[in-house]
Order: sequence, then C-alpha cells, then structure tokens
Amino acid sequence: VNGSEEDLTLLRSQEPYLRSLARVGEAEYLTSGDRPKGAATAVVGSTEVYLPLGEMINIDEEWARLTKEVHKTKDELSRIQKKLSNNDFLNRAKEEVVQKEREKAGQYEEKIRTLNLSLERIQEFQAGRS
Amino acid sequence: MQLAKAYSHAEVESKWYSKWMESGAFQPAKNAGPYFSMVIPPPNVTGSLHMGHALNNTLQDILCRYKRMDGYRVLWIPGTDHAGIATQNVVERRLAEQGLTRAQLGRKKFIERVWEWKKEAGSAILHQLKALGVSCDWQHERFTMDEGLSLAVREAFVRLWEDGLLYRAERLINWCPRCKTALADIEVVHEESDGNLWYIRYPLADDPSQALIVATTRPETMLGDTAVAVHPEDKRYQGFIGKKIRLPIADRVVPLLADPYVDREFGTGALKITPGHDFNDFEIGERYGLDKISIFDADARIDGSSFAARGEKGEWIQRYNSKDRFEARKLIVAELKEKGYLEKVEAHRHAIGHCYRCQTVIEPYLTPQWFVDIKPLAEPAMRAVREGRIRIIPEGWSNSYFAWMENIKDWCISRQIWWGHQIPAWYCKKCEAANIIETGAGDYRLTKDAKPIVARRAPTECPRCGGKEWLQDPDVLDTWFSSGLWPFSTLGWPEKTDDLKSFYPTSTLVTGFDILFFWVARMIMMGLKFMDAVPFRDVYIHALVRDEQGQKMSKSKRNVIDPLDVMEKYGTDAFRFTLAALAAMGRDIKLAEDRIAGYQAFVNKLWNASRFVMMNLSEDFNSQPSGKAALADADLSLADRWIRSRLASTIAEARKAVENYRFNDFANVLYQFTWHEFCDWYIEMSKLQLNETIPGDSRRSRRLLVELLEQILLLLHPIIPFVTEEIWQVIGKDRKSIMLQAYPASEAAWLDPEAERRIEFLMEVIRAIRNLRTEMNCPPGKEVKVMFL
Repeated sequence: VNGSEEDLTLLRSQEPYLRSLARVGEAEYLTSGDRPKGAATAVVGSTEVYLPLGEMINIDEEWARLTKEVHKTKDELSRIQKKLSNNDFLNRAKEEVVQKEREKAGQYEEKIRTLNLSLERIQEFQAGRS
Repeated sequence: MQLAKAYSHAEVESKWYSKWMESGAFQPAKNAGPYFSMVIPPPNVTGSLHMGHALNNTLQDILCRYKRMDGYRVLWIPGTDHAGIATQNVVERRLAEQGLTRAQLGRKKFIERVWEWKKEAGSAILHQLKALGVSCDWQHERFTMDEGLSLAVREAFVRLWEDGLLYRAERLINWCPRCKTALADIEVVHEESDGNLWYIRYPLADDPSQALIVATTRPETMLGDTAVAVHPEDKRYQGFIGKKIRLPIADRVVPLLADPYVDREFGTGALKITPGHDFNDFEIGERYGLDKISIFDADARIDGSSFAARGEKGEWIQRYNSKDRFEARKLIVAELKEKGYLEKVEAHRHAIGHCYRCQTVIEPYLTPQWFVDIKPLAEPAMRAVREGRIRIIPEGWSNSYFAWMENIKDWCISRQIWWGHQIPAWYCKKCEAANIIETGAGDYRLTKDAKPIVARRAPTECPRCGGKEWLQDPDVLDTWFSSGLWPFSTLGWPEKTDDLKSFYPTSTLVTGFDILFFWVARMIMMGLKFMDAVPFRDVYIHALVRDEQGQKMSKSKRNVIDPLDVMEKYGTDAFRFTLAALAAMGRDIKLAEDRIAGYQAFVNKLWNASRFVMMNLSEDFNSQPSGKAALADADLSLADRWIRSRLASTIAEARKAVENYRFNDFANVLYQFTWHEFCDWYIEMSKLQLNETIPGDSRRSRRLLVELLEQILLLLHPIIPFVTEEIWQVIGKDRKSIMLQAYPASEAAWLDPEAERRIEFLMEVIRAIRNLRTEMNCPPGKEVKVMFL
C-alpha cells in the first residue's frame, strides 16, 4: 500500500521543512514502482520513507566501524556471561548486583542485534550495487 | 529591546516584587467585576518557610493571579497566627538561655517579652513568603492578636456565652504536665508502645482472705480508685457484687459495682475505677456518683494534700507525696510485690497519648475548664457540606469530615498558658474569695465553683456585693479559637465593614489535610454561627511534600529540602513550577532536587525562545499588549494555522485545569505547548517564513511570533510570575504589569483539526528521518536523499 496522494502532495508542498529540519538534500516522490534497495526504511501512516545508505554514509568506513563495534560488544557480553555462570559469584554477590549484571547482558544482546541489522542493510545495499 | 544573554533570576525576582507592591497591583481592583477572595492559612508567627508553606502558598498564588487576570476583584489576605503554646515555648527557651524563667518574670513582663520577640523575629516568615512571589494584599495583613482580631475574639466569646453555648466545668481533660496546660482531643497524638499489665489482688473488706484480681496498665493510679467494677453477667463474680473492697496501700474501702460497660475479656474482667485519671472511669463515676480524686498536681507528681483533704490518713501519704508519676509506679509495684498483692505481670502493647507540641505523656487531669457546647454548631456545619454549599476537594475528605463531626465532643477552649487571648471572664474578689487560690508569683487559679461574669470589658461594680475589685480569668483561649474566626475577623467583623460586604464568603480555602479538623471545621462552625453564611465555597486540600523516596521530610532523616535554598539556587519560578507540576490531586508529592533543575531548564528555554523572537523584531513594541491581529489573520500558512489551533486548545485545557484545581495538568499542558510545540517546532518552522524560504509575509510572521510569545507569557504568568513579567516588560516600553493583563481566552475559530493532522504527519516524517539518520550513524550536518513511496 503506497502513501496517499494527499500525503505525498503535502510533503512536496512542505519540502523546505524537510530540508531544514531533517537535513534532506533531495527528495523523490515515487507514486509506483519497486521499493528502493539498500535503504534504511520507516513507515509513517501509509507513507514509506527510504534513506539510501550510499547517500548517508561512507559504506566501507561504516562497515569497518560496525564490525569493530560488534566484536567489542560480543567481548563485553561474554565477559558478563562468564560471570553469570560462575556459581561463586552468584552465591556471594548481592541480589541487586546480580540483577544489574543480567540487565547489562540483555542490553549488550540488544545492541548486537541492532548492529547486525545495520550490517545486513549494508550487505543488502552492496548486493544491489554489484 | 533586547534580553540579556542568560536569565539571572536573583536580579529579576527582587526587582519585580517590590515594583508590584509599590504599584498596588496586589490590591483588589476597583471595578464592578465579580470577586475572588481567600485568606491565607496563617503561618505560626514562630514559623520558618518549609515545603508545606511553599506548596500551599504557590497554589494559592496561582489561583489569585489567574483570577485577577481573568477579571475578578481579587483579595488575598495574609497574616500570622500567635500560636499560643508554640510561641510561649520559643520565648521560654530564649529566657532560659539568659538563666530566666517565665515564673521569675511574672505574667505581665513575660507577655511584654513575647511581644518584643514578635516584633523582632515574628515577621520572618512573611518576608519568606514575599520571596516566593505571593500576591497577597499586604495592606490587609492581620495578626490573630492584633487589636481588631482581639476584639473579634472577645465578641465571639461573649456571644457564645450569651447564647448558652459556653460553660465552665470541672472535667477530665488532656493535661500536658510539661506545658502545664489542657489540650484538645486532637492535640493528643496516640502512639502504640510496649507496657505492662499488672494483676493486683484487691481483698474484700469484710473477709481479707477473699480477693478480686484486677488488671491495670497504670498501677500508680490505684491511689485514686473509688470503686471496682465487673460485668453484671460475669459468672466469676456473682457472689461478690454488692460487697466492699479494701484497697491495698491506700486502705480505702470502695464499692464493687456491676456495670455492663465492663469488658469481660480484658484482664480478669474486674476493673479498678479511677474517675480522676481515666476518661471511661470518669463516665462511670458520673453515673454512680463516685468521688473523683485528683491524685496528681500540675506536674503529675503525687499530691498528698488531695488525700488529706478527704480526711484520709496514713504514712503512705507522706511516703508517696511529691513522687513523679513514673517513679510512683515503680515504688507502688515494689510495695505490692513485697506485701504479696502482686499476682503477675504481663507484657502489654497499648496506645498512649502524647502532647503534640512536646511529646510528653498526657495525663487525664481533673480541672475546671471552659467548653464550647459543640453539637448545636456541628449540625449546621455538617449540613453545609452535605448540601453542597461548601465543596471539599478532593471529595474523599468529606467522609473524614463527616466522621469527625458526627463524633465531635465538646471543645475544651481554655489553656493554662500566658500567651494568647485571655478569657473575658471576671471574678469579684470579695464574693469569690474562697474560690481564688494564689499559686505564687502573682499567679492564681480558680476553683470549679467560682462564678464568672463574662463581658466585653471588665465589670465596674459587682451586682452582688457592690465590690469594685476584679480578677480576670487567668486562662487563655485555644489558638484555634481565634483562627476559627479568621475568614471574617480579618475582614473587620464584628463591625459591618465594606470588606465583609464585598468579600465574604471567601471563595476558596487552600490547605493541608492535617488541619481539616483543627481549623477548617472550626471555621465552618464559627462562620455559620456568627455570619450566618459559610466562610468559603471551596476547600481544596492539597497533599504533602515528601522526599523522592516518598518519605516524610524530617530533620532527623536529613532529607529536608529547604525552599529558600532551592529558590536561591534554581530561581523561584523554577521552584514554583516544580511544585505546581507535581501537585496532582490527592497524591503526595515526591520532590527531588533534579526535578527543580529540570524546570529551571524550562525557564531558560522560555528565556532563550523569547530572545530569538525579540532579535527578529523589526518594529518597536510599545506599552500596549501586541494583541491578536496577526493571529486573527485569514490566510496564514499551514504551520501558523497549526500553532494557532494548538494555542486555542491549550488555553481551553489550561483554564479548565486551573479552575478545577488540577494544578499539575495546568502546569503540564503549558509546559508541553511551550517547549514541545512552540520552541521545538514552531520557532524552527517560522525561521523559514522569516527568511521567506516559505513564501509569505515575513513581517506578519514576526508579528505572529510576538503575539504567540505574549500569549504564552500570559498563560504562564500565574505559575512563573517573575520571568514572565521581565520578558513582558522588555518587549514593550512602559507597560502595565503582566499581572494586570487579561488572561488569554480560547477562540473556537482558531481550532483547525485539518492543519493539526497535516503538521503532525509532517512532524512524524521528520522524526522518522532523524531516527534513521541516527541509527545509521549519519553525520549530523550531512544532507541526505529521501524517497517517499
């Protein structure tokens, strides 16, 4: 389902706000056709918003940065998981401390998921390009 | 026409308060509009501004400023309460530092000292209230012991006497042996504590080999026993009823009564009856005509003379004479044990009454006191609330009010202290000579048989003996007696003043629940009695300010936030906004300092937005408010129509909230609009109109920005009076104070759901793009390509 004609017209007429408030350089209003590949996506109402990655970031640098970040986060996560599987720690530490470590582990897991999602997007983008 | 770069609250606040006062802006307007009047809950003259005062007065000030702007003639009367016992204690402590006591000075000199102290230190709290920005009319400032209010107290007392609603009687009252005064029932704090239940043998008079076992929590009072009672149907005691008991130690022979009041389940079912020191026993004593022996003196030490006066003899009287009640307890238990009267001791947890001022354990004590016959006053007071002539908000408090009023007891209004309204009753020195007891240092008391002459001024000649020497009753009135008259005494009663005609009944009373009975109920009773009309239409009961964990603030817990400290640190406006934003109806406020810092950021945001607006002004604005010319324009841009529509909704919601005492909604709806709609979005959008990226009339856009800013300032003024006045006065020269401008009115024609829907969609899209950029780590300045499908 594509964005309504009316909404697209509205966006077109208010484009200066997009430019100034979201740093949009160029806007395209697609009335039909395929979904753009290799773009970050969001949906507002019935309108789909695409930001092509190549326009936003330096793909190679971002790939390197994300990969490094994933490694770092995985290291942190495994350190905590080790702690949480250590009975000595579990028996001796206060309940709040254990709880805090568990929360941290959850946060790292979530972060890895998001980072991987970004990596997948870049992969998809490169697949579209080649 | 420029605002300073950063907002300096200290400078601005001190400047405006004195200007407002000098210009008479706090006095009621002289127009013909409707009135809105309030009396401040008078803080104790000994007081220092705490969080409770700050919340209470901020809420009142919001109402006053709102109503004043909304066209009402507003009168808000400030003042202080003489706070009998509290003030006397403060001055006594100061005397003690100089090695002096109250008794050494004598009554007259002592009272002079209190007045001196009052003059010197008593208005500290009023200065602190001024720092808070309260828009009270200081020309109406009153003190519960000033001349006019003293006259009102005397008039009220005499009228109650003439109407048969006052009496003097020897009754058991709550006595504080430290403050040496009677206390009203609600001035006694009951606390559970660990004690004992002592089981004592009370032998029969004619056959000491037989005995009843009585159980008591206060063995020392057995010296004042004048009966023992059991339940008439208690099988254990059928053979004993009607016999006599010989009390251990006092050796007094007393009757054994059968009374259904006795609880068979408590202790052994046999109850010692001490009418002189127990409220329930006093009632039984009245029913059976038992002697009431007052075994203690005013310090709660055993008073040997009370036994001697009954013709009782025995070396025990000497032995126990002058012993403190707690020491006497130990000695009596020891003697009972030694003589074989003590059967057993059990641990027992029970409630004990303490003085609300000094925490001393209360002694039920037999003294002549003055009472108000309260039922005839309570009935109409309950009706007024039941019939909706007074609204209590939140409504749940009405139930507490009714529960208390239905069980109300006669009000003991005499206090045995010096600082207060001395009771206008006189005794002829000649006729009453036998009833006047000198107690040293020119002090005296009167027996229960003394016959008072109640009058507006001291009588000249005794109608009985022609004597010309009079003694005024030494007691003073309960502090709450004078504050009960506050809503009309402050307006000039008993004179028929213009103020009374113009401003009574008052509109709203804002207060804490802790004085619902002490004060609110008394004002309702007194108002109906003397003015024949309710003292106020609405009573808004606000919550307590607690610490961020929800605990009560107290010095011992070191969790007290001092209002003056945070006002200095974050600004009074930020502090007031915090209190209002957290004042949800019926919910206690959990106050953390970072909340105040958060609202300081809001004040700064408003300041910076105003700076932006004013830097873009091309024309000079003068003393007139900018009005609504641009706002009323027919062909505004989409963004303009959106903000105008949001403004109209915000005004309507804000008005509805404040009129219904939803102070938190009032603050929050204005916060959202100002920060998240006007500052975050509209100002940013308007930049494109100012530089004509969006085609249109840029002059009108500037005009519109000022008009919107002024509407916001007007809307926020009741909560944050200082910063709004400062900005208001910088926008235009020689302007009339913002506090005298009209409060914004919502225009139905401005509501534009279509514009709101469209801009909200646009905002959603912009937010989505911003989020994607952040997620993908796109450099903030980089322009991106967007495709919409």
